[in-house]
Amino acid sequence: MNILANLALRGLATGAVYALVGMGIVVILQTTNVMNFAQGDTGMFVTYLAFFMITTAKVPYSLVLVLTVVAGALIGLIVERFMMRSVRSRSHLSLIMLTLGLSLVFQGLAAFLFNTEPRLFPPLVAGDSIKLGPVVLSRQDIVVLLATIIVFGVLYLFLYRTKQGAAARSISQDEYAARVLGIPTPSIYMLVWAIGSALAGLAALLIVPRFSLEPSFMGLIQVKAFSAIVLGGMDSVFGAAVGGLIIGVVENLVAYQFPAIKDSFMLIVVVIVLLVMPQGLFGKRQQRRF
Amino acid sequence: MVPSRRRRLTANAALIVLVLMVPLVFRTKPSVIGYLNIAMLYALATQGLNLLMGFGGLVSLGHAAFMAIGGYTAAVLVMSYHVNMFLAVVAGVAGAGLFGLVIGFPSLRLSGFYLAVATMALGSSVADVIKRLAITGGDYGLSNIPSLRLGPWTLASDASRYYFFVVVLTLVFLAVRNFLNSRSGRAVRAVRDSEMTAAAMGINVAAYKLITFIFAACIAGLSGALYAFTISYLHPTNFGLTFSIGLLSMSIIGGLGTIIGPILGALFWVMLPLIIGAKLTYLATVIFGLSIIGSVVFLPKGLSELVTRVQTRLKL
Amino acid sequence: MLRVDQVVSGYGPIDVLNHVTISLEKGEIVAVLGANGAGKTTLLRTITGLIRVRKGSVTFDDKLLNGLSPAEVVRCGISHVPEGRHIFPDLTVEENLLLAAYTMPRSQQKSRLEAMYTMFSILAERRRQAGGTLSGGEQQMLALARGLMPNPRLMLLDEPSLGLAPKIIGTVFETLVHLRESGVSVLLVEQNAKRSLEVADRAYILVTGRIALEGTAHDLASNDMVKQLYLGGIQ
Repeated sequence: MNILANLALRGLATGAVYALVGMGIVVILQTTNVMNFAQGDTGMFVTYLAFFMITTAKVPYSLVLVLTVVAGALIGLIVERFMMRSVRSRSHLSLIMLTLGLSLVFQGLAAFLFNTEPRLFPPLVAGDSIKLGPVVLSRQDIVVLLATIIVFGVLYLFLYRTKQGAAARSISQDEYAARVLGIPTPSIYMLVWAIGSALAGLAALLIVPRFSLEPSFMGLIQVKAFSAIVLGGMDSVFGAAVGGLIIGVVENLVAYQFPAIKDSFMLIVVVIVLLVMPQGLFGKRQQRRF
Repeated sequence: MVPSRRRRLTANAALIVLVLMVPLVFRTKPSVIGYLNIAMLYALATQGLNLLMGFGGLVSLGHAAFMAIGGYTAAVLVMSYHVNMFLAVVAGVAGAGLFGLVIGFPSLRLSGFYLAVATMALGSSVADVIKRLAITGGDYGLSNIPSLRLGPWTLASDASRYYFFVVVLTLVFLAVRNFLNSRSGRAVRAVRDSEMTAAAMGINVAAYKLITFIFAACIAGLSGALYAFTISYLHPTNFGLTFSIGLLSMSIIGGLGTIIGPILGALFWVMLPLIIGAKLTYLATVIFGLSIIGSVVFLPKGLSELVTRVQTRLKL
Repeated sequence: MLRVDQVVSGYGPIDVLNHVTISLEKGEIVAVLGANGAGKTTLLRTITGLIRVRKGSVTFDDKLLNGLSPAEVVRCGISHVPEGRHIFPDLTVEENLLLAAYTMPRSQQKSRLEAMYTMFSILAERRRQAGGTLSGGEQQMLALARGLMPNPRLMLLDEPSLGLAPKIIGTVFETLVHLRESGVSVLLVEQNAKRSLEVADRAYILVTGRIALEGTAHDLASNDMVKQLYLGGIQ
């Protein structure tokens, strides 16, 4: 029983990683209708900047956190303004290509500027693991879990308590109507990209100490994050968060019993979910099926 | 009409001579031929993807998995079961085709982003499963795969493989062209342009989507099998998401929905890192990324559009 | 107040409007009538800035609107109620209304919201309900209220009677008359010519992107050609 609880809770911590990345993807997806395959690598690139701020420039961690978020937001603004805006009405295929191209640019730049050797990222918080009853969690895991809850709360407040959030939701339902009503849609698109990309930076920075910093370190995490948003129904931040946590827990439990299929199990589950209930667990929008 | 046709014939003849001459020109630099061979194999796999995306309008982020299945099936059959190499290649193609059927099923119900995620998930899991199996060498990879044999001849040199691949590539490209010009090909394109209209015209949309997927998978499987016997080494991570995205990039950069696009894209992909040198090799990735963005924004038909534009300018 | 002068606009390679000229004075209801595809909706979209003006000019109180974004046009005092209502289905009635006054300061938003709830009491009852759960008539009321939220001096109304029961159509047109009394001008695009000519002061007949006829609503209603083509024959 203790083992199971431990596994589940550690899985929750892993799931929080997927949830963080997934929420950023969903925020952009639901308003702009762009599935950002560069989400992970945006975060990766920003994390390199953070790495040098910490190790070379000795900037304090809290300030690095802020700067990382700002850098992510800036990247989002630039991407929206100079890339996505001109091609907004293109097909899904073109949009996928564009963000894939962007992800190659980030990977190539990171490898070119900082080389591909894995680097150890200093831990977020020093100190021993913490015992919660029968369960042991590292401080790192606790920080990531807390961050997931906070990010979810902030996103919720943004979407449901601010006029910009309401505008973002209105665009996702009826972009034409939003423009007719005089909502400045271009600035909402920029805002949403900024928030999504800022989240990419934040997520990558929070989780990198668990892995090692290299240009490809976000690859598998991003695949899992996509799985999380599929499970959650593609159009809800809540779904992405819960989907990520579920994947983390199930994956960890499966890995304990059948280590060989740890990574593929959830991927197959996701394909089945897509086929059987494409609206996911919490999605509203029915995807176009034929 | 006649002069332009004669001009085209001359151009084609010149192209053929040029292609045949390449190994002679680079006789002192066999590595160049080796890279051209890789480019041709990639072009082969890309042609399948191109068929899927450019003509079928279906996206696949797991195309490298077909190559992996073709390659591993053929290599394992030859190495562990001593199957005749030709039959092994056929089995590799069939295996990839079978998996194409499996991946093709989601495509019947999913489109756009959903299909992208589904193929990405399936593709990643194939690489992952191969990594866990013992017979495939697992995480150590599969090495010492025998060289390509054609009946009694072993194609040990890069030049000999070069000519063989040119023939294979030509045959496959002709097959793709004939497929596209056939009844089925027209149906596939109709499905891409509008599923609804195609269905209303009595086209069995599901069947043609599956056919496209299987055909594309078979071509990629062939590419993978030939790759295994050329490089003599397979490793699962070479066929993960990164390479799937690589194949996708090749077809985008070369130009979707064109027959010569895959060759241009694959040549660009393989040759660019060589041209800019080992020191700057990662800069090539940046250039690839920018090329993709550039082709989507400015040249929807990729490099092949540039070629066409130059051609029209030269009145070839 | 509103002058559309020799305007050419359209989609892609096609010009839908060919040198259209219309005008509207303060406190008027002006109807633009015409068959499907005549360019009525295109005209409204051009005024709002949803489509670019290719030639000619659109001015509102002597301010040139050419090239302004829809958001800027709304700020000038023109609102647009689109055809088909376009209610945000998953947003509450209140959110739908507030979004229509996006650029307004918060205090002003509140008072406009209250004004809307007094004018359309049904919306006050439904304020927390999702827009998609409203009936067709209620949605049209919401659409009208959204148009009035920014406190416009001119409201562009696209086919407000489409798909509504006759009784509700009556309510909609009554609202227009009320609006005129309170000083809001209305540019009304309709296929329901009879109803429109009853409430309008003046009207234009749009035929394949050109103004074919214009005059007071009274004159047009008794014009034989109009009777035959748009009013269902001579009664």
